[in-house]
Amino acid sequence: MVESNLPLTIIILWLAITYTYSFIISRKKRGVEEWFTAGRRVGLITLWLSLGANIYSSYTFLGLPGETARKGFTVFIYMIYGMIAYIIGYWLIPILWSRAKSRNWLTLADAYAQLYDSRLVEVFVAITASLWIIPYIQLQLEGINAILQVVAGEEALYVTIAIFVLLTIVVTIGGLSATISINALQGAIMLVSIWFLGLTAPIIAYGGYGNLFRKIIETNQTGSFTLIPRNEDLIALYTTITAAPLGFWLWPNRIHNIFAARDIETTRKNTVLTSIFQLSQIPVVIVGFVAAAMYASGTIPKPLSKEGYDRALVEVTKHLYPPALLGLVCAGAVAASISTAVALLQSTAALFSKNVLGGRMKLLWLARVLTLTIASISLISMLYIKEAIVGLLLVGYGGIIQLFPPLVINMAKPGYINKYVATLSMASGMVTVLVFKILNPIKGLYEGFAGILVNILIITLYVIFKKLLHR
Amino acid sequence: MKKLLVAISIILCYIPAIPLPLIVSGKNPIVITIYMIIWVIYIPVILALMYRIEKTIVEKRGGTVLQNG
Repeated sequence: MVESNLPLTIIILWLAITYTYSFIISRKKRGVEEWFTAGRRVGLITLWLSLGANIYSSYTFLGLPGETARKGFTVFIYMIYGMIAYIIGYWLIPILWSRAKSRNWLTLADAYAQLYDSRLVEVFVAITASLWIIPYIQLQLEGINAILQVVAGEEALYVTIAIFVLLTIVVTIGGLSATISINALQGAIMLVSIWFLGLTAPIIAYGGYGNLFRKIIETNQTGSFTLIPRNEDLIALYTTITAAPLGFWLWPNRIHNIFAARDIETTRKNTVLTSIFQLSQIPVVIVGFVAAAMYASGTIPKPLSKEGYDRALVEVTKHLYPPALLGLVCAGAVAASISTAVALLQSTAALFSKNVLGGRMKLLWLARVLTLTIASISLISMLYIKEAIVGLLLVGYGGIIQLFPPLVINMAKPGYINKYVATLSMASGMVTVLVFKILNPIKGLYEGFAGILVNILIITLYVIFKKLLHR
Repeated sequence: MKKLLVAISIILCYIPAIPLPLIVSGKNPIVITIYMIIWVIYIPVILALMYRIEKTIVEKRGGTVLQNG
């Protein structure tokens, strides 16, 4: 009894430490600028750990090993688009940071409001970005629940709800200072546990990496799992790595975290260093391969649903390591989910309060009320809508990507497209994403890619039309 | 200078996509896996290289590459 509860005790202890720490840090920091951007004075190490933890969520810790164990090759698509996003971020982020600093942008929608001098575009971006974030928050809750199902059994759902309620209270009070301090600690434990697992699991389970792959090839070349991509996998690869990197830095939680950086040099160095954080996906995928081999040989029972594969990393850890270590790894995995959920909650509330409802009541209190509202919607979604973690993330990505063309076009050439074209192109792209997601007309084609094509097509038609009119 | 560096860095990231169909046609899962992992590791190297180049330019000219255009 005592032994079976040890992992859960470790998780709760770790969370108690991080919540207390963030509460102490954010206690004395009050005011609107503090809540939204932590006073723009976050240093390199804190920003690196915080942004790393913010970016790497349940998706990395649970979704990627699950995807590896279920489908094999396709996991590399997600790793590569993430990496390419850093090159785009390296050039884009310093420009965004400088503009945010000089023009006092607090949120993503502030950028659009100023670039288009339009309340319409501001509200559209704030509402749609917040809506696309809900599946991303739900994904984090699914992740916490998946971990706790392994260590807490039937009580998992209650513990998930308790953790999330506590978290919401901390963020509601502390804003971005609390978010960053929680994430810096979570980032540290995530890195340690991910690399430990990836390096040791193949050796403990199969005596080495060579044996692991021999086992996979012998037993696992049937069903949906394959390391040799099919045509639709290659279509998915090319369309995803073309479109998805464009949206990577436009997630409001990421861009708001960047706005909090102390100076431009911190943002540039941070982009290079955070790409190294991304290399932590390699050990995660290795654990996914261990899970694939274990599922195929029957060492661990094969999941019955695709959501079941999201527990692959925790199942492997439970099978190979003692309960205390399982507790530490699960604390890291819960940390991954929490850190991102915190940042998402804070940034969504910031968008809604500042850019949609701002001015009608005190901004800070409005942001707090909205944090609670968005948290509740996400919790209800988790209880009633079931989807695998990777699927949830890609749905959100497809929508967020659509914000990219109007942002960069008018940043490069102010006034090049007007507010109506910007709104129409983003809205059409988002509708296309939903249509392609539901109908799936071309196997493997990433819906975000279809959306961005429609988005750019509308902008191009407008530019051609404008040139013809001015002739 | 800025536009050239941006273009070079993006092209370099996508170059491994070109021979991929050829690698895949060999139907060797280990070769494919190693190739994809190398592609993942290769991108931060490009990024570090860009950072280094930019720093060198900044030291020579003063300001940043973005400012120098």
